[in-house]
Amino acid sequence: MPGRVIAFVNFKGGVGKTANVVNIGACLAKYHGKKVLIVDLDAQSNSSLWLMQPEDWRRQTENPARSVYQIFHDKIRGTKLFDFERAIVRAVPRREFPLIASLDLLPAVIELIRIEQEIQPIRSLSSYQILYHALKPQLQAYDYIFLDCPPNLYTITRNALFAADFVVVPYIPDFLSLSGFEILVDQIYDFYRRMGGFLTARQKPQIAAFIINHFAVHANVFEAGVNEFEIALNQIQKSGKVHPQATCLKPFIRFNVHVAESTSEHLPIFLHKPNSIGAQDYADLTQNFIHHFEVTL
Amino acid sequence: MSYKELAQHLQSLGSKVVNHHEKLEGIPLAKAAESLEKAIFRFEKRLDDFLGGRGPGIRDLEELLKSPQAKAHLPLAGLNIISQKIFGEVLKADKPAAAKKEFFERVKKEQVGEKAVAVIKEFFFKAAQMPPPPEDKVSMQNELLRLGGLPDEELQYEFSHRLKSVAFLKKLANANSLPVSRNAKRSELVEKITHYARRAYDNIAHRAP
Repeated sequence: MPGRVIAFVNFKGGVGKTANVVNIGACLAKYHGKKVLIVDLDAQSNSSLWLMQPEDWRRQTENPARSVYQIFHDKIRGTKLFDFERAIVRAVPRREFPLIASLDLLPAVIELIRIEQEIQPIRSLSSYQILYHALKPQLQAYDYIFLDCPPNLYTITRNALFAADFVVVPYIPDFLSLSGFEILVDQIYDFYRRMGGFLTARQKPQIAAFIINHFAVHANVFEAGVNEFEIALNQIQKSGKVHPQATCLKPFIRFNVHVAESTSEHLPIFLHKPNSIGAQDYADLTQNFIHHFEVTL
Repeated sequence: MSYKELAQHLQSLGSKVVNHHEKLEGIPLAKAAESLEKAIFRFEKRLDDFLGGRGPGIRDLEELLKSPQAKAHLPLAGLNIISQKIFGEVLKADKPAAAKKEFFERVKKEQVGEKAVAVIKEFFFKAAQMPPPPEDKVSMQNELLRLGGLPDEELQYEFSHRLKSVAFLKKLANANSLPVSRNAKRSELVEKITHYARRAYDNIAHRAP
């Protein structure tokens, strides 16, 4: 069975996209025996730098051909230099030797920031299918392919949307996120409507789950924020713009300083502080994530 | 370095030692050889454990017992439930750490590692599930949104006629996770519901059907 390709998308920054991708991916690989590929699509290279030592990442991406950048660059220049085997970093993170054997990373590089400008001359609906075609040969090798998107809805994120089977929206329960969320849903729905003709042989991708991040129990402040989000979601579900089974996955991820600290250690929370509440939340969330994507949907 | 590269290194080192072993001598080399032998012994033991040398499922069981979910969901009572399912009886130890050790040793001894892993995974799956929301949660959320969109006088009318019951107001507040105290009086409930209903409507109004 081909792996599930899941894009983690939100055009708002700081909502937990990378933390979700890295820690759910690591949990799936470490505790559930899943083969996972993380594709870092953000020029800031945050998931790459979370899972690789900076020096290893610099060495790997000195040649941008050894990163996700080459996939897009090939399309723009008409070359065929992308070589998955050279670009992939197997079994991340590493301390000289692999720490999680079945977690692979396709790293990002700062040059990705140029893609938007470079792609202008060839921009068309087909320029949103570049990533899909590049990943297609790898689908059988993985149980899950996670696409860590930049905080925008430009060409690279649209490539992720097209390549994905499902979309997950990481979310922070406050009004600024709520207002952006409604626009986000409209934009994604509109994108899939426009791309419908290219999706004929595939099940139409949809937003299938939400992950609440940075949650804190303070006099119901966040609960009230989540409640407003759920009310908005109820309304949106009636419009059919998200998957009918789309849901807020539980538990909500509480703010935990050890998760932030684990970025500096270049380790997922399970290897950095396995007894922290961050690790516990992610472990339970991953259990429900598997059930949602493998049983419910 | 990958483990494949390590293996190649060890093979080439082994060949070098075999080819020159009759000439090798001296204290520095002997000391280095002694440390290497100890390191190789430790590595081999770890490797055998990893490859299932202690029996099928044992390494996975060890991982599960050290996992974040074990910390969250496997206190003594949880371990006893699992022990009951696997061995038909609870554990003798009455402290969590000792009980975990007793459980692990017994699984190893009775060679039921795979069964233990399956039972614990099922236990964790159930523990991670949240209680389902009340059946009428969505209708309560819709009600809050509706109230928020009413003009002041109509909202007052609702509170004085249709929403007279304190029990219903509490249900409405709880279903919408509003910050009301457990012993909230009617006035507090009306005040909080009004505030959060207005807020929800203002924040979401353009989505309302």
